[in-house]
Amino acid sequence: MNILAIETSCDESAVALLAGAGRQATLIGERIASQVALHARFGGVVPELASREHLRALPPMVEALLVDCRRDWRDIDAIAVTAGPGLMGALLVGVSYARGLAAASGLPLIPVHHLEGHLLAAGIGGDPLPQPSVTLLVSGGHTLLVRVDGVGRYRLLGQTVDDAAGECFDKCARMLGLGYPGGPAIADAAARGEAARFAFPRPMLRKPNLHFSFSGLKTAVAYLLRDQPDLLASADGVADVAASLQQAICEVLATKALAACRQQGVDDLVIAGGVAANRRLREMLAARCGRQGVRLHLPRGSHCTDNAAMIAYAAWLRHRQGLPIPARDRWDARARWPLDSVVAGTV
Amino acid sequence: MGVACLHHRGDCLLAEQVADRPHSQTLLPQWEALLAQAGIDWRQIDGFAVGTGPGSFTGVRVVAATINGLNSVLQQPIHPLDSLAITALQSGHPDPIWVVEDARADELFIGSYQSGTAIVAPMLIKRSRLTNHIGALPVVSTLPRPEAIDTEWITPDPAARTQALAALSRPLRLSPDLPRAIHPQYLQPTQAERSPG
Repeated sequence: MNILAIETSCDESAVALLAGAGRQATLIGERIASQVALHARFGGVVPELASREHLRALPPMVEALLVDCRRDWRDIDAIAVTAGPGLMGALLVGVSYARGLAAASGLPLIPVHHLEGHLLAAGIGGDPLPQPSVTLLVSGGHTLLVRVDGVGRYRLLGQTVDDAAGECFDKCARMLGLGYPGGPAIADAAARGEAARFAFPRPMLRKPNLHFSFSGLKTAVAYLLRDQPDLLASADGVADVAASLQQAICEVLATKALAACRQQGVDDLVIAGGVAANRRLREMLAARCGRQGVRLHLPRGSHCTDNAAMIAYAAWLRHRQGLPIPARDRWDARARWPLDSVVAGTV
Repeated sequence: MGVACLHHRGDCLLAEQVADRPHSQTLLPQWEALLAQAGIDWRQIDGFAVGTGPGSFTGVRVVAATINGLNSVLQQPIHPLDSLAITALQSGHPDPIWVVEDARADELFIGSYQSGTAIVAPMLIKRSRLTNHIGALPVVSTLPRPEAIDTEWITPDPAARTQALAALSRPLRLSPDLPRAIHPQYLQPTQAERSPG
């Protein structure tokens, strides 16, 4: 079964073609057009500009994808599209475009929850992920711990009560003059810094739950820079703040993720989302998982950030599971869509 | 309101819909009903003419995205239509007029037309500058007449919009040189672009 997928939930326009057969699905090709340069001068994503850019990008990307993959419309069996959650205007472009594709080609259209795509992405190109598993989904918009018992069987174990971890990276990077997006910028600066120099708080670590909070950490960085403004004038100062901040965020994420595995009696931990590409987080989790006897599953780097391969893969798994596909015009893009309501293909 | 027409073998089939659901869910059923009425399918469409604004960013973009999706498969020429020209024809006024539409943010989209042909192409102006542009020509607008303006002010008949679309699109020649994807006329920068940083 060949599935062509569209993803436009935020600031990446992405298309992918995936072939699923038996227990495995193979990525035939994908294209991702990042809008980072477009939004960088504003210090964050401008939703209206994101929508405009998705509309401009999609038609040539789909055409090029089919050429790259040496396929035409007769080779495609279904269209999949991110239906939410995300930026409403951006989602509407992808959903409307996909609806048009489905109408003209006569193919079924499968709406996919963006986070379900991230949860399952580590299985692309290999065996499906072991179940049950715990997934730490951590990005600019989300910080969640989810128990996954199967496709469409998700239980939210914990989430951020304020800022997402990636948002904390972005905001602190801006304070440090490191640019946007903040995660990679902080990671680059942190590689030259001393992580033990500043003892930033590890929020919520002593709380007997699996929730997160990162706004206090952001405030701690702001206070430090207010009280010691000279730090911003030196490359070493900026690098040390970045390294200390990264260490604090990674320790919180790793500690809570492994606590979730212990609490749930689960031996498989998956990390997903843009922050999952952070090397310090990967190293820390690998070491701690080894000590705790937990197997760590990582999507490949390009499938940590937003991509359409994960949307195609989630659609294929839902199809393989026999979950129903809603009628093409009876659902719509949803800016907000709780993950634990994704159970039976309903949108 | 979403309006559509299908020119087929000398006939023009019309459809209009006051949406009880979002446009993104109603466009394709409306268009497919026209195809069914004509007894044809998407593969028999030789080209599209599409209103590209100026107007509501989201509304125009949903139409453009849907058409672009259809046409990624069909690969037919697309003729852009000026949405203010449709409103101008909708008024039925034979002489030169201004069309004035709300652009929010205390701004207006305006353009001048005669029989649906642009005399002054659509542009974005400050609401306070309207009197500097329109002179003594009649104005077609869904907005209420500002107190400071005493020129003739015509509210277009909503029921005439589908006929206006049909009249504007009927004579179009679908040259193979036309684009295969369509993009809205935005005219208006985003708030972020107005005040970067």
